[in-house]
Amino acid sequence: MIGFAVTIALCLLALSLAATAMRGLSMASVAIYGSSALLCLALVLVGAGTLLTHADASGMRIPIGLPWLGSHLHLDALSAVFVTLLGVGGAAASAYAIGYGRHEHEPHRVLPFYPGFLGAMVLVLLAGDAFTFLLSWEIMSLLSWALVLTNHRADETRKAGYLYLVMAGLGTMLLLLAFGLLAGSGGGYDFAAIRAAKHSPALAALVLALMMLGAGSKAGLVPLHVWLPVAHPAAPSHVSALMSGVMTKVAVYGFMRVAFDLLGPVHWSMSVPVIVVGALTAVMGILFANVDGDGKRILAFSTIENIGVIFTALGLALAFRSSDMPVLAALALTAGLLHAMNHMLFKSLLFMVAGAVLNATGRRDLDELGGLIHRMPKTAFLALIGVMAITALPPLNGFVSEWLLFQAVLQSPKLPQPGLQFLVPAVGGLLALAAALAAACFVRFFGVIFLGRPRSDVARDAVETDRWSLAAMGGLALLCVLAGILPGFLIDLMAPAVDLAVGARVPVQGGNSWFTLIPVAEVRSSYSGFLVMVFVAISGGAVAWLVHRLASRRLRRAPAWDCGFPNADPVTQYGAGSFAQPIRRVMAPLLGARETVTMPPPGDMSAARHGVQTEDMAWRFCYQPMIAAVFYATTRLNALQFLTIRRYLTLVFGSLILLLTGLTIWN
Amino acid sequence: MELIENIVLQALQMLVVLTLAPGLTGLVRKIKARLTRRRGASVLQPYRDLARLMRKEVVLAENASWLFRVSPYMIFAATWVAAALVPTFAIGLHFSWTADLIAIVALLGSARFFIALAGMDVGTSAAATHVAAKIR
Repeated sequence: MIGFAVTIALCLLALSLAATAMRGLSMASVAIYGSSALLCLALVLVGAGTLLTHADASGMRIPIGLPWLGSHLHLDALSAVFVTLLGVGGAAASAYAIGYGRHEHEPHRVLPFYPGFLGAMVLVLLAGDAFTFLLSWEIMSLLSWALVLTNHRADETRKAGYLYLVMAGLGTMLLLLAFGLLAGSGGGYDFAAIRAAKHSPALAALVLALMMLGAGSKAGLVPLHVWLPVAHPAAPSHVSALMSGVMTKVAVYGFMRVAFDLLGPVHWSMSVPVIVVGALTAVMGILFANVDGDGKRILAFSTIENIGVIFTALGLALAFRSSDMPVLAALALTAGLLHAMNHMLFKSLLFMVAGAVLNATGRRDLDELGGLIHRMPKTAFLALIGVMAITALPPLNGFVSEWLLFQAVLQSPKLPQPGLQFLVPAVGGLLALAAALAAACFVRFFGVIFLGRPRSDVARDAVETDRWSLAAMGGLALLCVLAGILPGFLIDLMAPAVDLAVGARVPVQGGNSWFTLIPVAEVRSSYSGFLVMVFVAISGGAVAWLVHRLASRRLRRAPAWDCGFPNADPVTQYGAGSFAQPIRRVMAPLLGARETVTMPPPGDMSAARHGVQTEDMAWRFCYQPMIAAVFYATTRLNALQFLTIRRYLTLVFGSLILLLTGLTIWN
Repeated sequence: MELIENIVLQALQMLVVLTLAPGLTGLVRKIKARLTRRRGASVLQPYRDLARLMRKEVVLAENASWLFRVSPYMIFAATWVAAALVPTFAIGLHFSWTADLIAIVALLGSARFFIALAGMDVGTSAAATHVAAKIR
């Protein structure tokens, strides 16, 4: 299996090189995206095959890389879950890109980086030593950075690219430190060696904190999320889908690999920061999504929310595991993994929808769209499924994972630590708040884009998107429905990975009658998405039939009631800003929102102006002090640039002594 | 055999909920009226209203899409299924294990979701304003 997986990864990387050679060929785009899609499908086979056959972990070593280490590659159940996730997301994004890529002005700015980006992500998942992991991680970051810069002429994009590069660099540096600590001064960078070594509690805490910062910056944990809502939307939509749907999950994988596998058991207090940061991320992400006016940015903010939900689940799993309750840990971890999979499905779908709308209208701003359900009925239908899934409406897939997570939250009184007993229900409240805000956010997203009357000429003249895009979106929508009504199969599929991470699994779901989900025997709750679907279909269908059969079937079209203000302009419709205003006012301190009203002096006929500025608080309280500190330090250190040779030599000698002393003390 | 019995009981339960629901609305209205020293309409008034509405024609706004036509059924189905999951006269039915309280809340949330979308579909400010007030 591992050989097959590595071959696919290398093929994807080679495809990148081929793309540079194929520059200028007219069929290059179809060839590259088509072969990427096929390779990703093969990845699904590898990942799902490994999980289905309960294959043992397999590894191999390639003699490239560090001379004494080589490159270890390794495929176990945990990697396989994420490989499957990547395969599905990558295949859908590539198929979508076959159609979407035709509209690209400069395809050679995307093509050479796209397959390599996929390949690098596969290598991160397969990495069996810290060196391979970090190298692939950095290639992934750099290639995605290049993809973000596709539309490099826009000033915003260049800023986004710069911010992303800085944050990615910071993240990799922190990961490097984390792995350095794990490997110890002996330099055992192989994951097997790290796993075998004993880690002191203080070191484990430090490593976990570094992983939270390093992997969290890639995943988008608050307050390291600032780059995500600018960089993800700047890329072409299929790349946005990959970055939001898949790359953030690769970061989640990195965190899981260290926190659950390499680090060994950790103290329960380590789970507190993960849970708290996860819940705060969920709420802050969705709050920002509620007040933003740009369709793709809303989706990026919602990614932050979902990452928060996933990290909360991981934190709960850590808490349960450290208190020796492996079954409940398995429940929380299953919820987290399932949510990662589900989020990949619906977020990719929604980014593709945003891309289709962008292609049809050239607009991302919600307040310039509207009424697209008439012009793009198929896209609208698929978008509705995506929106229902992401708002966690039963019987779709988003609900299943959130339901599982709430089941885990409801088990928190069983935890022995009073601190967690208080904390986790509060976190449950925050998650419920986030879910409610997500519903408001996506009613706004779908309603303003697809419903109502068009707010601009381009929206009025939009045309349905191409078949490839529709097929990719349709596939994802179908998977959203299937994962919602038959979640037991996915849970069974993921069970080996859960077992690997926490040493237990939730009961086998495959044999339950009516596809009912019974997460843990001690949790006396069950849920059957299949039956809910059947119930809704039967009752809805029966009522529709009865009403049409028995009641009047006459239908009259009439102008909408206009409340006595005829010929209202479409801009007077309830728009994105109207939805945002109450939340923005209530949450103004959190969102850093300021409203300014400039009134003309009396007698002046010019218009009054009402402006809104929102500023992410992370900038003011986290980044600006940090930037100031860096500036201060660099100006001070500038003196070191103008020393005499004697002083330089002293400096070098002094630092050598200092480092050696440090090393001696550590050992 | 047990399955058939289960299904029949479940269907009966759903029908009971359905037939009693307008009566409950009527009762609440009656009590409200009495509390404010009015006589109020008969308890059966909601049934009469429904019968009347059934005979009336459907008036659709010119701009309304298919979503506007589908929404009422979705709202009804979601609410009805949520009601069906609450045991009324029979407990321990197989189908009561279909979902728990969280799912019932989510089903009622789905109903809200579709009301909101239907309100935005026509594209008038008034409907959407009410909708926005409703989803919060």
